[in-house]
Order: sequence, then C-alpha cells, then structure tokens
Amino acid sequence: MENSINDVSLQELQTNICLEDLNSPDPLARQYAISQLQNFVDSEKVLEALKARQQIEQNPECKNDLDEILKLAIPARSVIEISDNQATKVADLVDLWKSVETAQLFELVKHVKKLDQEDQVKVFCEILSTSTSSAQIVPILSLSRKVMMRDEVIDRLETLVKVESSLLVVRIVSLLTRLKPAKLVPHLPWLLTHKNFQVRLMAIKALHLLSKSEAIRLLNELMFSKNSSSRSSAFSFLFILPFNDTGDIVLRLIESGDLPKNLDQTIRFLIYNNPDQRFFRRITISYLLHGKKLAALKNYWLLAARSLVVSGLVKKSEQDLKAEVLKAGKEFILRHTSHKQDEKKPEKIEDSSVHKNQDLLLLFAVKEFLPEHSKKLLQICNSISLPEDISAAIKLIDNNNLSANPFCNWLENLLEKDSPEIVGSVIDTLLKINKNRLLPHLPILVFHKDSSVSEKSLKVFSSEFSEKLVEKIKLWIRDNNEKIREAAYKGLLEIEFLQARDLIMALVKTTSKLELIKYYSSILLLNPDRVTVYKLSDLAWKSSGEKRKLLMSLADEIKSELGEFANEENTSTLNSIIAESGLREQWDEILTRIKHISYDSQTRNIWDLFRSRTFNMALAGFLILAIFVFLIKFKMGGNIDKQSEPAALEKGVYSYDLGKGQEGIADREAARPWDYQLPKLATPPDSLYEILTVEERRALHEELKSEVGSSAEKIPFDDLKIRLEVESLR
Amino acid sequence: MRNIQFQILREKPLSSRSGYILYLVLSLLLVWAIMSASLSTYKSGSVTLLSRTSMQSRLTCAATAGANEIWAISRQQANDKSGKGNSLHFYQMLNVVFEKNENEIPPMQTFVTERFFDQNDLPFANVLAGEISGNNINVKGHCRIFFTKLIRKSPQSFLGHIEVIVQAVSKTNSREFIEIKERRDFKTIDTRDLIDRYALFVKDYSYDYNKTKQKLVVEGLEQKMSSAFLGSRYAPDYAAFKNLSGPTPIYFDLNFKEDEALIPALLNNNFASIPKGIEEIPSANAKVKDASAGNIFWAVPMPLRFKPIYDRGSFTDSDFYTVKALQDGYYKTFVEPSLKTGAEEHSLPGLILEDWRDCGGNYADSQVFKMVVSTSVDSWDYLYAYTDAQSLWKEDTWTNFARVFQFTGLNDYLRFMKDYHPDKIISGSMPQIFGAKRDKPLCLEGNVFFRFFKVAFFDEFDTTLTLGGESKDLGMPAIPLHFQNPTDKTTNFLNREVRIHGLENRLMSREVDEIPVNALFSPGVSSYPKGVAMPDNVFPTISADAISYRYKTPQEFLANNTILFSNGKKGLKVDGIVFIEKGDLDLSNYDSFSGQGVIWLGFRGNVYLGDLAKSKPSDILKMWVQDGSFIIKSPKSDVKISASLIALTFFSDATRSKKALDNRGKLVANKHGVEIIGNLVVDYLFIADKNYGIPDDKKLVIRHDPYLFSPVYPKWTTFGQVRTIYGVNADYENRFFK
Repeated sequence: MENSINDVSLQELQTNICLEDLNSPDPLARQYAISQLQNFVDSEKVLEALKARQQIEQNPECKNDLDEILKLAIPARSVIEISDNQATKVADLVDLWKSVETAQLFELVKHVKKLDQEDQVKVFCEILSTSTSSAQIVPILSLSRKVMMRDEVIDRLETLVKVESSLLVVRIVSLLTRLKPAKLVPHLPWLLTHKNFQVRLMAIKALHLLSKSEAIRLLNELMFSKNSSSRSSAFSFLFILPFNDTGDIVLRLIESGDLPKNLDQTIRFLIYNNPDQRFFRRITISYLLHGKKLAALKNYWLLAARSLVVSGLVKKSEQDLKAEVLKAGKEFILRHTSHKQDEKKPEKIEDSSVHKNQDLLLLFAVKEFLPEHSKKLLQICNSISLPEDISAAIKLIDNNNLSANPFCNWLENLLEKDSPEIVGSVIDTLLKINKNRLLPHLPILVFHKDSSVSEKSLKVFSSEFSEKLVEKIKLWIRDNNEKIREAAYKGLLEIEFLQARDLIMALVKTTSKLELIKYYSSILLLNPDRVTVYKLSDLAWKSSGEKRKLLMSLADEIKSELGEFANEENTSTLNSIIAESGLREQWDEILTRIKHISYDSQTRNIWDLFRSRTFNMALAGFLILAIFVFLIKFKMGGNIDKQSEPAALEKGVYSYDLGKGQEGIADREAARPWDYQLPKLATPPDSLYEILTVEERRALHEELKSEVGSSAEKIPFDDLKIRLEVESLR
Repeated sequence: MRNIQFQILREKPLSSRSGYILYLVLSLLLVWAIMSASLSTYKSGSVTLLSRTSMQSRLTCAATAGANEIWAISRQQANDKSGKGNSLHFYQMLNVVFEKNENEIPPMQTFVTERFFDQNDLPFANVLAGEISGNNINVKGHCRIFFTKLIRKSPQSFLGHIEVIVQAVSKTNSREFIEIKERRDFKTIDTRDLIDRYALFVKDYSYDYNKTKQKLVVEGLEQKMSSAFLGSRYAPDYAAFKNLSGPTPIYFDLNFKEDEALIPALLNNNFASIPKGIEEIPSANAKVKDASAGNIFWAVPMPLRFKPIYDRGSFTDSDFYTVKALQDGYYKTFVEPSLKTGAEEHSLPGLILEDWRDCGGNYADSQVFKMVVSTSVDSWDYLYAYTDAQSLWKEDTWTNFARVFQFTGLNDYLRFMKDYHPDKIISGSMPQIFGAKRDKPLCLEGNVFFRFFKVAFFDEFDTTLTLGGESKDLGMPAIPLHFQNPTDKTTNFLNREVRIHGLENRLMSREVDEIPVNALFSPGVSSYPKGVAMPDNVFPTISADAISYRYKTPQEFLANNTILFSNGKKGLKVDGIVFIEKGDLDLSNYDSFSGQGVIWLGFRGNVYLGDLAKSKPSDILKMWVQDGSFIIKSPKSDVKISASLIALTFFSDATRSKKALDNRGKLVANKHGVEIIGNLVVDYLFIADKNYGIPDDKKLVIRHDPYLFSPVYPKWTTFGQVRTIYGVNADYENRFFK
C-alpha cells in the first residue's frame, strides 16, 4: 500500500482527481476539474479527456471554459514567421498578437520576452487594454517576474480581477497572490463570495497569507458544507495550503469515515509526504478514541508513523515510536477524562453452557430449530428463574434468531433485572434480532448502575441510533443531575466530533455556568481543532467577564495542543503586506467583513440578517417607498382637517347589515356619526296609529285622479300579466 | 470734418420721422378737442344716471349672491341633526315648532322663527361684493320661517314658507341700496307611519306559509318587539270557514324538530299551558314506546288510569260495546279458541260458546263480552302524545310511525280534511317567523294558530278473568282512539266532553289547533293590528299636502334624481314624499339610494328592483305601489333590498275586481332568493310559484330595519324648487326690512 503511494506523483494524483471529476454529473465539480486541468494540458491524457468532454458538454459555463483552454492547448497548425524588424517593434508585436491564432500566442510570447523590460511592459499594457478574450490574455501572463512586478503591470492586473471569465480571474488572483498580495486585499471580501467556486478557493489561498485563522475557517466550512459538490472540490485544496494548517481538517475527514477512493489516496499522500510529529500525536489520540469504530484509522496512523521514521525526523524504530506515543496518548486521554471514568470491574466470565435445566439442554442439542421448539422454549422461558438458565435461554434465542414477539417481550422484561451479565446479553441479543425493540430502553439503560451495562448501551446507542443519541444529548447536556451530565459527556465522546462540537458550542453560547463549560472542555481538548479555536475566540469576544477569560484560556490551551501559540497569527507576513501599501486602516474593516462571510448556511441566523447592511438598506428603502406611496395616496394634509371622517370611524359601531358589498357606495361626504349609530329604539306614539278613514282615502284618491286625468286607472298598453299557479288551481 | 459728414448723414432720416410724430400728436389733439366739445354739450344728468345704473346692477348682483347663500345654508342645515339646540341653525328653526304649545302654532296661528345674517354670516356674498365694487358694498340678510298650515295633526307635520330678504348697501352712500325679497315653500313632515312597526304586513289569506322548500324568514328587532300582521281577507270558501265569527284562521304547522327552540315556549304558552310531559309514550309495550321516540315531542308523563275519567264523564259500559277493536279482541281471545276446542258442557269453552250462540253475534247481548268490557274499563290505561304533521305523513304517505297500530287514531283525518279544509292535507312546516334561530320574539297579529296532533289510545293489558269459577287469562290488545268528524254532531265516547288532562277534554286523537302562535311571547291572539278594526283600510297615511315632488312618469323622476357614481353605478336621491302618477318604475340597475323619503306610485305601475343598498344606515326609502307589484329583476340569484316595500292596492275602477290576484299588491320574487332589510307590506303574499316564486331551498328573508322603526330623522324638511315671490327694491325709504 505504502509503495503504491510512493509510485504516484503529486501531479498524477491531482490529475487523477480532476479527470474523475471531469465526468461528474455536477456542473460545479466539472468546472473545477476543468480549471485545474488547464495546468496539465501538456499531458496527452488530459488533453484527450478535455476534448472528449468538449464534445458532450451541455453546461454553457463549462463549455466556455473548455473552449478557452482547448484554444490555447491545441498546438498551432503553422509556425509564425516574424522578421527581426517586426520582433523588435512594440506596435508590430501588438498587431501580430491580435491577428495570429490563439495557439500561436505562446510562440509570440517568446519574442516578447526578448524585448527589453520597458518594451515588454508596453506590450503587456497594450495587449491588456485592447484584448477582451481571456485566451488572448493568458499567454502574456507568463512574462518574467521582474516585468510583472512593475507597478503599471500590477495595476493592469488588478483591473482584471473583475472580468467576466472566471478562469482568467482564477489566474489573476493566483498571480497577484504571488506577486503583490496587498493589491488583492480590498477585493478579498467579494472574491471570497464570488459565484465561482474556484475563485473563492483562490481567494482563500490569498487570505491565508493575511489571516490564517479566517482562511482555515472558510476552508473548513467549504469542506464540511452540506453541498456535496463544493465539498468534493474542496478536497484538492488540501494541496494548496501547508499541511501544518490543514492537518486537523485531514483528521476530521478521516474521522468522518467512508472516504471515496481518490480522497483516500490524497490523504495518504498528504500524510506520507508531510511527516509531522504533532499530527502523529493527534492521530494517535484519535486512533485511541475512535480506532474501534474506524478500522481505516489504524492504516493512516501506521502511515503517519512510517513517514516520521522514513523522513528521519525521529530517530527511533517504528515500533518504539508507536509504543511511546500510544502510551503518551493514553495518559493524555486519561488526564482529561479520569474524573469521569469509573473503575472497571473485572468482568465475570460465565459459561452459559453450564446449566441445570435439562429441557434447555435438550433444546441446545436440537439441530434444526422448528416452531414447536420455539414454543417449548417460550414455555421454559416463562418458568425459569435461575440466572444460569436465563442466560442459556437468551443464548438459545440468540443462536436461533428467534425474533417473534413473545421472545422480544420476555427479553425486554429481563432488561429490568439487575444482573449486568443478563442485561448485557439481552442487549446483544435484542440488537441482533430486533433492534427497534431495544431503542426505547437505551435512554434508560445508559444510566444503568452497572458501568459495563451503561457503557455498552451507550456504544450501541451511538453506533446504531446516533441521531437519536444526539437528540438525547441535547437534553442531557444541560441537566443539573451529575449522573445525567456524565452520560452526556460519554455520549459526546462516542458521537462524531463535529456533532459533539456543535452541541458543546451551542451550550457555551447560551449557558452562563462556567463549571458546565469546564466540564465539557476536555472533549474539545482531546480533539484540538483550529475551527474550535476560532469559534471559541469568536464567542469570547462576544461574552464578558469570567466567561470570556475561561473561553480565552480554553482557546489558548487548544492552540498549544495544535502547536501554535497565542497570537501566532502570521503577523510578520501580514505586517509586511499591509505596510507595503498603507492598508493598515482598511485591513481591520476588510477583516470584519471577511469575518461575516460564511459558506455554512446554517450558522447564518435571523439576527445576522437584521444586522446586515443590505437588509437594513432594503428596509429603509421600503419604508421610504411606503411613506411616499402613503403621501401620494392619502394626501395627508387634505384629509386630516376634514371632519367627515367619523363615517369610517363609526363603521364598527354599526352592526346592522347594509347588504353585501355595499360599503363601497357609502355616502361618506354627507354622513354624520349619528347616521351610523342606531338611535335608542322607542315605540312610536299611539297617535301614529291613526289612519285615514275610507272616506278620506277615497277623497284623496279622487283628488289625485282628477289631477292625473281619466287615463289614471286604465290598463297600460304593455302591462305585465302575471298569472300565478294558485289562480289556475282555484 | 469727418464728424460733420457723419452728422449730416444721420440728420436726413431724423427730419422725416419728426414730421410723423408731429402728425400723430396733432391728430390726438384733434380727437381730444372733439371729445371735450361733445362732452361739454352732453347733459350732466345723464352721466350721473349712468354711474348709478352701473352701481345698481352691482348691488343687485351682490344681493342675489347673498340670497343664494342663505338658501344654500338653509338647504344644508335643514336636515342636519347637529344643529339641535342652536337657535340660529335651520334644523332647530324648522323643528322648534314641534315643541310649542298648540295655541302658538297653526291652525290656531302662524308660527314664525327668524334669523339675521350680518356681514360675517354671508362670507361668500361679501367677498363677491367687495370684488365687484372696490370693497364698497356690504351684504346683510334676514330670514323668516312661517309655519302656516298643519297638514297632519298627529304626528304633526307642517307646511309653510321661508322668506329671505337680502340688502346690499354701498359703504360710502347708504342710499345706494338694493334689497331682494324671495320666498319659497317648505314642508316639514313626519316620515313615520303605522306600518314602520311591522316587519311583515299581509292583508290577504296566503296559502304558502307552511312551505317546506321555500321558507319565509322574519328577523324582528332585537331591542324592541317588532310586529307582523297576517290577515286572511279573500280566504277560500272551504267548508271549515263557514259560519266563522272572526277572521279566517291561519294555521302554522309546527315542526318540532326544526322549531325545537320554540317547544319550551309552546308548552308554556300564554293561552293554555301544557303540563310537564316526557318524550316517549309510557306504553306497557316496549315496541310502541320505542316507536314513539323521536316522533313525538310530548307525551303524558305516566299512563292515566281510565276509570277515574270514566267516572267523571257520563260514560256507560254500553258506549264501548260497539268498539270494533274491543269486539275483535274478544272474538279472538274467547270465541275462536272455544270453537276450536269444541264445547263440553259446563266447561269454560262450553260456557263461552253457549253465550256466543245466545247473543247471536250481537256483542251487546253477550254476557261474557259485557264482562270483558267492564273489566277493560277497570284496567285500561289512557295514553296520549303530541306530534306534528311531518312525523305523521309526507306528501300522501303515512310514515312508519303513523302506521303503528296504537298511533292510527288519525287514519281518517286526511280523508275528512280533503273536503273540509284542503290546505290542511299538506304536511308542512311553519315559517321562521321568530327568526332563523327562533330567538327574535315578535308580536304576531292576526288569527294565526299552531297545528299539531294528538295521538291517543287505550294501552294493552293483561288480566285474569273468572268465568264460571274458572280463571281465564285475558290479554286485551291496545285500542287506538279515532279522530271524529267535527261536523258530525252525534256524540260517542270518543268525542264526548270530559275533563281528562292538560288541554284535553276528549278521548279521541285529534289535531290541536287552538293555540295562537302569538301566545308564545305575547298575551294571546290579537286578530287585528293594534288600534285597527279594519285591516283592509290600512294604507300609508300620506295626504296630498305632504307631497314634496310630483312627477308625471317614472322616467321624469329618474331623470331628476339619479346620481351617477364615478364607477359607473347609479344611485337614487330621495327627499321627502315623491308622487309619481303612473308607469313602471325600473330601479333594477340602481345599486343604492341616499336621503329619506317615500316614493309613491299613485296609479297603475310596477316597481322593478334588483340589489338596492342604503348609502348610510340612517337613510330610509319607502316605496308604495298603489296599483301594482314589486317585481325582482336581477341577473343574480339572490337580491338584497334595503327598503320598506309597500304594495297595497287602492283603486276606484268599479269594473276591476279587487279580489282578482292580478289586482292585488304582491312581491314577485321572479325566481330569486330575496332579502329585504326594511319591511314588507303586501296584499297577497306568495312564496312558491313555478314561474314567479322563490326557487326551492331559497328564502324570503325580511329583516326589520331598526332605523325604520326609530328613524334618526323622524321629521324631514324639503324645500320647494320654485320661488313663490321675488321682489327687488331700490327705495331706501320704503325698504322691506328696516
């Protein structure tokens, strides 16, 4: 295995990863692969793969990138002929640059390089100011460092940071990182949030020079983000940053288990080629903690030991080194967990075959277990009481995989017994025959008074139902009862560290009990991680008093475990870069902006949204718009002094239905409040009941009739005749 | 030398221009000379007259403006309640008359209120006057309201005129003066009427109250009790209605399931309360008991021993000898088994057979039968319960409940009613006269009674009979007690009067139709509207004097009173009493109305209505169609009308029959669900009709409008449209108003 790693070169490793990704269904992964492969176009294999991909590529962005790369990569069909005269003139070269085939540009660069520095700079500037396609620009970037370091050139390059083509931006960013990182500083915040993943990665690399902690944090977030494609692309980024800083990421990756083959290769390569004692110590501790669960850990651990010995950094034999570090690791773990660990009782070895019940013996002898046998066993089960007999029965059930309900019931009842042996074997058996029946008992068994049982159940809990365990730990972690907290602690050690860290961080963020933080801090110490340090420092800044001191000291402790020292931030590089262009004041501001960038969508909460500038601007804009609309729509001044408003005001008082949809035509101009308020109902005066006599009525009618004329009572010509059914019936 | 040359060059055009100016000046001088010459000859008196005429026309203009302003103020304030108590407000000036002693007001004497308008009270006229005269004119005014005629004594309504005098005076010379006097008529009427009190007023007998598919719903007022009157004019000539002393009765079919909320009030009604009962009939037969559950709403709480009733009434055993069920029971239990077993002398069957032979089939002569009857009279339990028509029969089929032998006492009821009172063979359910939730009591006037049913029977019993020294078990069957023809005057034990229990004084099953619906919430029946002896004569009380506007045709009315809203909808303006002579008034495309008043369609014509809303709750619109109907016309399936609809026909054409349905005022729903917020007053009310009625499962809902019952503006003033006097006076010495 180790040999195979020695055989593979770094380049091959990288191309292998990228070639695999080139045919990934995810466009992001493909894009990444394409951008990486542009560095290896010399290889025939890579070129062929790119061409093949170009034929079938559907995604427009990927297609674009492929086109550009292949333009440059495909060898020129003809050799350009340049007269000496032409070769020395800046203008001629620039003209040629624009006219020749893209593939010939590399040839042309050689001619440019022959010019003196001043002229090279002129050519460079001219080309940059006139060319638009990235294919035309890329070749000229290979001019000598001296030329490139010129201020005019750097300024031109800086303007290119904002071009459309992501491929070009990647190149420019990487170039500027090497040449003059200070120029990149003002662009970092938006480069870090660039829509193209590659650009973001390059920006992280530049950031690494300035603020290691931020870069590592962002890389971590990318690596462990929910988006699988960005995660896989981020893996190869492990090559970009020094192993010193990415060691803990590698360790977390290993601990996450089930790595794909190419990543496994990458990690092996990294471990083997970066012998590091501190890393070895950490992987030893991880091995001790999680080795039983993750078989692969041992391989990595051995590889790390081997690399140390091979590199000559350690002058011991591999065997000694391993023994020594193992011992130290065990001590370290013990130191941090001793106060919680119980003494282990010597396990009583019982021989289940020694039992007195003859019926059981007979059943043991049965070769083929038939239904009648299970029936018999069930009868026996319900009658026996001696522990030996019970153990034997459990064993029988286990052996024959009897998952019928009655057996499960019987087993579940046994869980309430005190005997650890019986409970332990019941757990094993239930796990085997029907683990869902075991689940409801686990949260209780974890607190079993016998430590072997409680540990066993915790292990089963974390391995079989880790999500449920996490839920439980969330509850237990804050409990006042020490026993429950202890279970939480053990549980945290069992589950994946990233989950455990999230739980602890959530606790640290909200709790004010320092003992609680101290209690769980050793878990963080056992798995030292830069992100932990980052998060702790961040929390420390946001808190105050004793808590702040505690968090700071904890962060320092973890740092020292990582082999860094407090404030070891790469100050020297930073200072030199910043001082270079008088960026000191800007830097703080840029750093806080960077601190707000996060690739981990989960950490962004609603409060952050409220504090974000864009949100506030949008809110303010919306408010202004609303006021504006309000002013236009309601003409404030005009309406305030009008007293006819009560009509609307009194609407609630009036409870009598005016009819559906009839409010719209309410007479608001003339209406007064009392028009909407029902007057106190009073029975009308009796005088109202005086009606006209027949004679009076007749007289009135005649009077009106004489006014109207004789036609008054004549049937009108078009009178509607309504014939009711009643008339025809009667 | 050069300068001189230049001067010469310039002097040439100058000399020619100076001649032109001179010419102009001279001609102007000439014009001036002519003018001064002519003016000097013009009479100085004419000049004075000219200036005075122009001043006078300015004064007239200012005075007219002042008069218009006063009219505007008066119109604005006349029906504005906010002026109450303010003696300078037109509302108060027009309403103060109602607070006066009757000696101070017409017809005893003219009553006058007045108000002065000084410069500040007429701001617009004074601004105008100032503008046209260089701030040299003052406008003042005075207004008098003369109440000259009492047009309705009670509630009081007046007629009169308003006189407005406006003076426009020059500030510099008080003799420069114009005075305008204008007069217009006004009417202050009381808009209230007897029929506002009614949610529903129907004059004629209606066949539709008990319809099950189309429902009439009346929602009375909450704070006060609304009234409803259901008359029975032009009732059909059913045998049942012969020789009635009062108005024809109207029956509401109680539906105890739907009207469950009314049951407590019914049992405890003010006419004759029903003692406490239970909801299953307490028969010895469990099947009968079960069959009654859910089909009756009241039953005797325990079986009534018949013997005491027998003793109270003038019954004899022989009354029961003819009862068929009794005879059959006897034959089946005694005679038949004896015939089968054969007769052996001195045995019990032998004894029975001998008796049977002796009587020769005549039960009254059978000694054993008589013994059985006498035993039955001692043993019988009398049971009865109340149920409703819906539980007994639907369409023309008896329900399962009605077919249970014990409950077959009403078997002959329908057969009898077919000729006697055909409306009663319909199994209906009463209108929701007390609101959809039966929670709005109202005073229901008219001869309206509940109809529900009593089912009665003698319960079955087992006893032991000793015959010829031998005991015989006797299981007597139940005997349903049949409904008896009320027109048949012969009495038998079924219809003989005897005090039994509760309402009941006869043994038979029967219809219970004596409880007035009004007895639920009011003292009892009141056949006529309160204070009215002849409901036929009830019409809105409007005199010709009270009419504010008269129109020849509905079109003319609409042309003058339509408000067009910006959204294209139409609104109607009402102001006081509007009299339209004749013709169809189509308001179906009007969405709303504003104001307060009555539209009185005096002669032939219908009113077509769609949705019609108020602009504000205090608006009141009453429409009286005096020789026509209200016809719903709308594309919607349900319409909602906020108005008081009155279709009471009055005409004097002797050739037309008042009884003909065509000539009676109706609401023609025209296949629409109708909701009226106001009230409905018609001659003839119909709900169901294939072509013109309300569709199945729709309702006619009448929500009594509280604003109609107690108007916000009980008195409403309208102003005449024309000036009855107009005078202009320029004589300061003899001015109208000093």
